[in-house]
Amino acid sequence: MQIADMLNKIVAKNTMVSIHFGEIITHNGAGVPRTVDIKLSGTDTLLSDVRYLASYSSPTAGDICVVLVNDKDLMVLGELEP
Amino acid sequence: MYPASGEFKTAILSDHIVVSKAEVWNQDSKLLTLNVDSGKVTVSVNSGVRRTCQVTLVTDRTTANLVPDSGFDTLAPFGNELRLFRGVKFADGSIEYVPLGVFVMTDVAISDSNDGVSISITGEDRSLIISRAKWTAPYQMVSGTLEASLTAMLQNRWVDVQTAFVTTNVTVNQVVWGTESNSDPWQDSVYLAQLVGYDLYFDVLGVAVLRPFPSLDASTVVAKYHEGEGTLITSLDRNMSSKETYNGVIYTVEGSQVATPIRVEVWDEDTTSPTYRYGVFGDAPTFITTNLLSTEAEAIKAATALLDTYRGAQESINWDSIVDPTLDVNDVVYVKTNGSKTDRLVIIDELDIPMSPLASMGAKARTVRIIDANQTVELG
Repeated sequence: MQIADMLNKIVAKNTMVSIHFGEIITHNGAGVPRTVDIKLSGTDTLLSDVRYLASYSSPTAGDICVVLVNDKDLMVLGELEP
Repeated sequence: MYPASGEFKTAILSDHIVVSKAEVWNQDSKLLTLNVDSGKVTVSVNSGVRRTCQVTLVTDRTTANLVPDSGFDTLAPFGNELRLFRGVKFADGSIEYVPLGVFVMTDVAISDSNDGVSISITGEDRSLIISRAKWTAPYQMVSGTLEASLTAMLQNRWVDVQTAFVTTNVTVNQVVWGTESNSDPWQDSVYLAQLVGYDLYFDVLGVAVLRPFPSLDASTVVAKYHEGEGTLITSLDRNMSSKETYNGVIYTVEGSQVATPIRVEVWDEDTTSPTYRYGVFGDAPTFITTNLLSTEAEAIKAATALLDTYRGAQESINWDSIVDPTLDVNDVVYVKTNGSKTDRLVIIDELDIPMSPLASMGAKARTVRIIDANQTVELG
């Protein structure tokens, strides 16, 4: 059915996962949840309050980070070793 | 359904004079009004673009100056809009028009023959303006109500967009759009609305509208197509299929902005439904995962709205009828014909509204509810 086709697109789109690179601009202190502000893929757009994995222990401004984009959700996985 | 007058609704049920016109607009200025020779407006819930049009204007040699010569001419498809209307001319000479949509012209084809010069115009509703304005950088949608978030998102792509959004009481989480190149902001907006159980589209006046998907239980009947009572139907097809029918939605909410992952299940538990979960049809779930919502109550509401959309899809009814330009998709109408054993409330999924007075209107719908023999259906 066509209406089902339309809604199946919703289901299909849920599988969209990609990796991007970004730069840590600010680490937002020790509040909970802990977040950073980043710029993604070389753009000038500041994306604020992005969460990061616990294993990325000390995000620092200027770090080049690996960002997981899961559908429309962003998570910083860690720093790319310099 | 467009709110036409009672006189209009009465007139279209009997012999009447049909009038149609097209207006060409540049932003807020009307440039000219044209007579439409033929064509149609297609309205569909099955694609992100709700309304499309294809109309043909035939000019004689003296009016052939309408043929666009450059990209800046009135009928060139580079920004001017077409507004289409179909109406009724009453006995006293007055005319009432019903708007059929505001269209961005996408293609203009010119044909020159002995019969005259014909100009065919194809257009899509104003969602095209937002579709074309692709994300040029990631766009962070901050947490807020669905309507506020969508308004900000649409205005980011088209600052002059007009909106008429209901109060949803749905809070959506912060998400980022446009991380992938060439993603379509309109498709993203429709996707966002649908995931939480809402329908987003541009209406006949070119205004972006947000409203819940029609409910199967609390639907208002806006028209009746009843054989033997001045029926408007000229032909009807009915099709039943279980191939892509679901009777359950398993809705998962998880993501970096969700404190604790949520999973809810909503099933067809209506014992009168042929897809009743514990009937012979069995379990046929579909799965949806999102990071947009935060509470179980919101997830249940969204899953229920989506299940309603799936449940009706098991039986489709297509018919041709006398044209009623006030009808819209997602309208609930009552259809009764004896030959096909159709006695149903249906939700319209697609309409072909002709501009020509001689053509009939095509409709595709899915069944909402079967009507018992001793039941009567009232409008409103």
